[in-house]
Amino acid sequence: MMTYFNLENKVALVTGASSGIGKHFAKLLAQQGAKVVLGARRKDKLDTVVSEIIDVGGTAMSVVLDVTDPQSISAAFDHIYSHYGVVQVLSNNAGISDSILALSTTEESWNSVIETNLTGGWRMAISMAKQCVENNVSGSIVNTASILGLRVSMGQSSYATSKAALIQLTRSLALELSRKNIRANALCPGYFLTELNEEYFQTDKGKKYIQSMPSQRLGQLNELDVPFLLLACEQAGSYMNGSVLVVDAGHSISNM
Amino acid sequence: MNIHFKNKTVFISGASSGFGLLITKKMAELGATLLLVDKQSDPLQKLSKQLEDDGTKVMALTCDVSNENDVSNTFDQFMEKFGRIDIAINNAGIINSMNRIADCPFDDFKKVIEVNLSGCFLCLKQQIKHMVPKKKGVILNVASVSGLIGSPFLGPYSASKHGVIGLTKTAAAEYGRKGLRVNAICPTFANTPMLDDIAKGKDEKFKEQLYANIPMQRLAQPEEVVNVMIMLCSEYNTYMNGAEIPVDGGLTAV
Repeated sequence: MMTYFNLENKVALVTGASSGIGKHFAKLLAQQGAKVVLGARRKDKLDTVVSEIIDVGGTAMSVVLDVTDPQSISAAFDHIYSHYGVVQVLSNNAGISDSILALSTTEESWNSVIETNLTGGWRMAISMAKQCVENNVSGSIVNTASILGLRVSMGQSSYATSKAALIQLTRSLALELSRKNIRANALCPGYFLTELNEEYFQTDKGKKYIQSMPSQRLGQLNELDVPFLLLACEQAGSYMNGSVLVVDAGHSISNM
Repeated sequence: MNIHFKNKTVFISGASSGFGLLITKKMAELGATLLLVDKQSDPLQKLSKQLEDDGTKVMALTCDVSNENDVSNTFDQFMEKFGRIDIAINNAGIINSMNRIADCPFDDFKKVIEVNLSGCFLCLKQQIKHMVPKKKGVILNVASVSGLIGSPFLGPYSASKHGVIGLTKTAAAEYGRKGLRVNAICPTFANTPMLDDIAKGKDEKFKEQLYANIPMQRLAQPEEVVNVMIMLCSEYNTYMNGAEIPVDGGLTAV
């Protein structure tokens, strides 16, 4: 079975790779043999992860990347191309949220969430796909959406909207890029324990929320490994395209 | 990540042809102990003998999944022999003769619902009953893209597969707390005997029409579907529950 997830010699780019799910995916891709490029705005945090990957025998480098800045993206792709070659696996993972009720949301807050989560993902996917087409190679785009792209919850209007739109973008790309041998799929995680939410889930409110979930526990990041690799790896999910894979222990099929 | 099913007891219905046959062989390769059922006795026993000769622990029983007594007796016998069911793949299914709804005989409709939906329900009941005390279990229902979208000429089949997805999500919601994971895989047509059935008497163009709307512009290879089934059932995939997983070349995305 190992060969299904083999990514040897493939270049994989992970955005939002300095923490949380992105950092986890970067390490996972390196374990499968990919040459991994970690992108985020802050290089110092990325370089810590890069050294962790290299220490265990993986291949990785960092690139400063702001998905809200087209110039930063084009510079990053040039840099990656000259060092590693064409990116064939893209994990679009950079994302932000601003938890605020709809009536209190400002233009600035709304725009920044949409700009990073949706437009940033779009810029990355298009840049990657263009390079694949120019070089006549196959590709796989895995967009990290969320169960909030399918359902809603209080104070998440901008985040939920951005993730729903990211899912529609995924489907549109799947349709248009399929004949160019590029697959695009979306992963919709439920609530996973990361350093970003650890504090909240230790509060009474957080603990109560966990108890209201069907499985009464948060996901551990390694529980995303198989679903993510299924979408990322050519040999595993060769016929999966435009799919929206929910990994949430049943959270989104019950009351949220 | 070394995916295998050593020390796992795996139930598969509709084991003697199509996806069922291929998943049975893969599971055997990966070390599973197999509990197989099929309505067709001869091919099932032949398969069972072959697997046993190759060193797989297997029990194969002829069973009509739409018959409650049959199903309950079958599971009693499996439990008596092996004492556990770790993974269940509800794969048995039939397809109706192609007709628009107004031209579809009611008997056809009833037959398809009985096997595909009632059969899934009856097997689920038994599986849940035996898995809950162990606080652990994986159930994968083989639905179809026809369970996600309408399928002209396949009204009964589409209705039955929509029903399977409803059962899947409800079972996931009801038993997630008890340690069960229940998911549905939704393939398109692949080159299996079911496809041959509906393509019977039709010209070569017919198969081409089946993938005219699929972005990848081809039907699935059965392997591409079965590989996904293997990964979904693996012990590394522990947080997916109540999910519908299309393996459809992009058909339901558009």
